[in-house]
Amino acid sequence: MLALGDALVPHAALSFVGVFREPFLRYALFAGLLAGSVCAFLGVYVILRRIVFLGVALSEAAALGVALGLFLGWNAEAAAFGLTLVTALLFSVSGRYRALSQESVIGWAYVVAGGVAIILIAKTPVAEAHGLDVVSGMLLYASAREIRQLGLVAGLVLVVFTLLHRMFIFVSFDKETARSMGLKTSVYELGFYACLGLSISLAMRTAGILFVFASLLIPAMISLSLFQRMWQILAGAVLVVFLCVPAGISLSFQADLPTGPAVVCVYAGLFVVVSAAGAIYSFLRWGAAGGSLR
Amino acid sequence: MSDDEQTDDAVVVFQRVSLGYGRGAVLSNLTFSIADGDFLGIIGPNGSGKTTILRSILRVIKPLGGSIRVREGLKFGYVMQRQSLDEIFPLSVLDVVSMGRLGRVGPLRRLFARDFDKIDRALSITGIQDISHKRYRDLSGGQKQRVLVARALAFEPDVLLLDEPTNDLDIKGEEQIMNLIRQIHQSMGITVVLVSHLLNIVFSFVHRVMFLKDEGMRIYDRREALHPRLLSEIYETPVEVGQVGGRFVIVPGGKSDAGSR
Repeated sequence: MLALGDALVPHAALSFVGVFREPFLRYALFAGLLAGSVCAFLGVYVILRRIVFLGVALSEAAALGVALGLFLGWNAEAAAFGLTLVTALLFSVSGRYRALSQESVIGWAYVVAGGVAIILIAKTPVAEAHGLDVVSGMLLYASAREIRQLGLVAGLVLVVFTLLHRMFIFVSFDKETARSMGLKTSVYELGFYACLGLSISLAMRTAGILFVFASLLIPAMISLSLFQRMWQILAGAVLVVFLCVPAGISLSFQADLPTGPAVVCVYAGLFVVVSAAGAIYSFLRWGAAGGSLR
Repeated sequence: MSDDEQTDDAVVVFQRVSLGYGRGAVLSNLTFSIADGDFLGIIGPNGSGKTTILRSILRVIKPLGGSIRVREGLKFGYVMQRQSLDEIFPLSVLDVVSMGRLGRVGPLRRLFARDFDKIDRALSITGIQDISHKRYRDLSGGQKQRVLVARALAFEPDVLLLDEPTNDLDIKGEEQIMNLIRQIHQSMGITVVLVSHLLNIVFSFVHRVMFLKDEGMRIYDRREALHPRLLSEIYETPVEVGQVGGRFVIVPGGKSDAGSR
């Protein structure tokens, strides 16, 4: 990684933006922005539907798919997509059974996927090397093909949600009333989970579990704490990705840190700053309104 | 009065219907009909199956036995218990009421001017035009209830189904919501089915009352049901019926075979 940089300009002289003169970092940037944006966009719905744990379970299912693919000699991407999609679709119907909470079923899937993935990785020499990357990510090795695939998925998600945004919100907010009006709620649920499964499996393959789960969670948390309207929240979550992913990649290159965790730290830092600013603003408003601790 | 007569103007007909979840029946052998223009109150203790009847009318759950016939093309406006809705969603009043049009316009069409006219009318009828841009979660309980009624009206329903619309409201809120429902029933001619566990609310507004008890039900005209002996028998405790300011008041006490009425 440093050898490429050293060939062009001295490492210390690379500025925050300047690092992206490196072609492989530009690839990483495009892949990170696409993977992060689609996860952040869907993450708003994941948080509002209170299925955050599902996000990490689907990331783990995608990792299991990669491990399974390498173990059996199948196409790892196709295996990751297939397994994530099946898991997502199973969760879309598991809520109908009253004996077990959906949360417990998601927890079961998470530990089983994680456990089996570790066993498969340990038993597959090729997968063992990939195994470490599944967690931290391989953003710096993103290929043009992966960027095209991510772009296609991001476009698909954008089109589906632009056309069906109101329906997805209605079904998420009040499924029973939506059904009473004759809407095919199970079709919308399947559509939502299919988009989620497809996005997570592709993003996980390129960027790793940590990056994907953080992108599902933190940009949406920041945006929900800043904005009031749904379109503002969705746009805000994507904007957070456009701020944090370049900063994280640049930081990782300049400080020689793993890329996925570096982006996660930048997300977390921004969340702390926004939360602190919000608390100070609330305190000042309270003081201006005549509030007193006495 | 056992209501197994079916009239030509029936919009919903239950015939020997059993309802429940899984294998267990909550209600058995229900036979009754709801006529066009009816105002039916469903009363019963918690867990007696009041909401289950509404859900079966809406075809959200299938009957375990028997048949439920619904007049073709009938549109139901459902006002669910507002406590069931998750207030984490950053929705404005207008966003929530607009949902009422989605069942009419279909999945891929956007809302047109005529849809917004219907939404405006629903906001106007329920008296919430002034707060249409406020966030739903910031409203009072009574205002939220109006929003859910407005959403149901935006769907242009033939039948309004309300599940415990006065839950957690103060007496002013109760009165305002019930007067709104009566006004909708009278001025718009919409059939109303209302579920509640509050006897005083139901008896002061509905035309007919369905009591749920021991997996079964009985339906009476309101006047007929207001007899203390009948209510004492149904509730297995002495009950008195009185009138205050034109409203019926039902309280426990007195002798089971006598009342103030």
